[in-house]
Amino acid sequence: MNPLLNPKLPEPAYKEEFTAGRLFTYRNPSDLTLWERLYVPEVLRGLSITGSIFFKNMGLWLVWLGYWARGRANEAPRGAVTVYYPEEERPDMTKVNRGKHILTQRLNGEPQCVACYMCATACPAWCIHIDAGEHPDPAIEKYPVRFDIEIDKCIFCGYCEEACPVDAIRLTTDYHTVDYLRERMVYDRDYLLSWNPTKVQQEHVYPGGEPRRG
Amino acid sequence: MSEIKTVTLTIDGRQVTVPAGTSVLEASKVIGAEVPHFCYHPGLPVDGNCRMCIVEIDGARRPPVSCATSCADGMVVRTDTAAVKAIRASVMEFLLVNHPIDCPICDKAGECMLQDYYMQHDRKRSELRDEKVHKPRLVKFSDRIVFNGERCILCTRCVRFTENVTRTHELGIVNRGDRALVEVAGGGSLHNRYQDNVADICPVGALTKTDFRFKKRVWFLKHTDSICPGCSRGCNVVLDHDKNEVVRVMPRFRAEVNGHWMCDEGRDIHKRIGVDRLLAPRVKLPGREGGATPEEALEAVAEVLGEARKTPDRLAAIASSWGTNEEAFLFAKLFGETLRTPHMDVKSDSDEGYPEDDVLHTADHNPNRAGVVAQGVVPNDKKGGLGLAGILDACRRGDIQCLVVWGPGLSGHLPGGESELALVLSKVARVVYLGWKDDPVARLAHVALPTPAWAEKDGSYTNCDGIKSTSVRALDPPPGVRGEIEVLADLQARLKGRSYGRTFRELAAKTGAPLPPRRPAPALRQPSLYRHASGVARP
Repeated sequence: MNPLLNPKLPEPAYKEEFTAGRLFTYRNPSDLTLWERLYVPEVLRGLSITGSIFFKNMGLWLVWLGYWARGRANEAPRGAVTVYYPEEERPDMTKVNRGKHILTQRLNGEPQCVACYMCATACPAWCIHIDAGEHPDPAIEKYPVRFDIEIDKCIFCGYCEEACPVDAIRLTTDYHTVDYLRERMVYDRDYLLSWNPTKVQQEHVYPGGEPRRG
Repeated sequence: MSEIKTVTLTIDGRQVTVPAGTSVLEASKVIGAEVPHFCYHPGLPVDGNCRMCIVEIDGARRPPVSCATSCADGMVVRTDTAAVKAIRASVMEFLLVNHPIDCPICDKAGECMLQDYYMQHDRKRSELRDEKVHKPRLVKFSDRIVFNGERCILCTRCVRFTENVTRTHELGIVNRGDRALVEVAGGGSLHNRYQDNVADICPVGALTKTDFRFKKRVWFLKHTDSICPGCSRGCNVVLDHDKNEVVRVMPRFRAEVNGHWMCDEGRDIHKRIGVDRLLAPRVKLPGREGGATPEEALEAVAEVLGEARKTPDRLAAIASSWGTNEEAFLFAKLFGETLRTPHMDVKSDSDEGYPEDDVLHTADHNPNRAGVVAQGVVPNDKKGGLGLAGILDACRRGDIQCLVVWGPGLSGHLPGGESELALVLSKVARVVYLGWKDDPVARLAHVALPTPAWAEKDGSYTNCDGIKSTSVRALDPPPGVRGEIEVLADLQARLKGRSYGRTFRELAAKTGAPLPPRRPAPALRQPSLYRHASGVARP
């Protein structure tokens, strides 16, 4: 019952709520102490916390500069927990992270896909576009002439992977989908088929060439 | 007239009264008890080979097939007992023994009876441990039909179609047992004009249309009730479209017009929509040359007609036989009542297509000549009005000052074709063209206004037997193109004529058009695996 609608109920002093596994406490303005209600001292206290972290990080950064000048940047103590992407990447990325798609291949390099449109049907973002064609081999019969994924629309839900009856589409852990041009963010059939595990470990392959830096 | 004899029977505990001779299957449809069936089709003779429609009848020695059992007085039928369900499940099991279950690459998936009935009546794994029987696949029965023997369940619907509807007898079953196959007699190919129907009535994906093959999965299609404008039969059809493009044309059951069928020419009718379109208005009047907006072009037409109004005897209007009744109604009112011209007639827009036959196709390749005439687009005999030939002769003599042509195909009425048309129109001071095709008249006219194709507008059509059918707008017209109803109503208003309405629904009351049933709005996306994806009643 909303306490505002029923004034008979006593107003709780604070509210506790579990959100994302953490206990949050919300306090009403009425139970702040006089010191807290003065406002300015508490603001200054907050500034002192952020300020001390800032100066600590800056000091550590100066230390880091010294290490870097001697060519031993890796050994320097780290201040903030920020990961300097894209120069650095998190080492603790989960193995089941859903990232870029690939199309699996038959032994001769042709797509395993039979253009059944199940992934396009299941896709909640409608980002998969397929055109089917008649395959010269009557045993295969149907294959995708065009298979485009608009990676900028994709929400990486993995439904396409789940809907596929022939295990033709998979999501890899590679999350490097950024680009400066929308046109380059449409992955075509040949790009999706060009996936090669050894190549991915060495470098990130972008469709239409390397993105322009800053 | 003698009274129709009826019988009363009980189906699933409910009393049904049907005409004598009705099959139990049809009678159970009346109360909504769906009896599953493969080989039965209301447009074909009963065969009773699939055994899926078995029901229990009290007093019968064994459960009979409901499609081949006539109703009798006092009959007690049960369609959902445990025994019937067990029989259906085992029939399904047998049908699926050699079925390849290649639904991912099968075009029928989504509207396949085998798929639907598997989900409703079987839902178990195959117990077959041996290899399935392999049969010929990708057999070209003709340029239009591809046959896959492995998917076929041998219901003989297609065979009965060629025997009884087209009476061409091309198809037959050869061999027996698990080697049985549908084949074209004598190793030839299907040669009738109604062959696409065999793919429609095929309950599985054994017969597929080359045209629709791999084009689109059926659950992406939207369905709009329309008519086929290929000939004056005006077959009732459903336009299956997606992304503003018609992908296929399917017949819609209408007993008095086309029954369950339509011809192959009608299947291709949607391909004419994008060809030779007039997309933007053209104005070639002095002082108004160059590109014109639709609004300016309409103003130009109003100006030309306002000028012609002073001498109504020298104004002539030729109507399109592809126009709808509502448009023809407004056309007749605008020219007959407001502008008072006696010279009005209807022309043929198209003469391409199949010649007449005794199944459906008629000799007139225009859908609505009868309707346009019935709405009053006829020469006014009292004032010495001229017919089409008379109008063209008068143009040639220079007696006509303003000629309004609605729809393409005028050059087909002149023996000399396009060159003669140029000669005739050069004698006319002002030519106005209104139509969806980029016709020679559109190139010669002083003002040419684009209009939508039939699939892009609402309207009713009267076929050769005087039966009215309504066609619902399926596609969006090209940008800036306004329908004839709107254009004619606008002209009527600019010329200070009476107002009769600006929409199809307003005018339908005046022309007696049957209003289309409102279909439920389609779901955003309908990947339904359990129901018939098309949402239309299946025969």
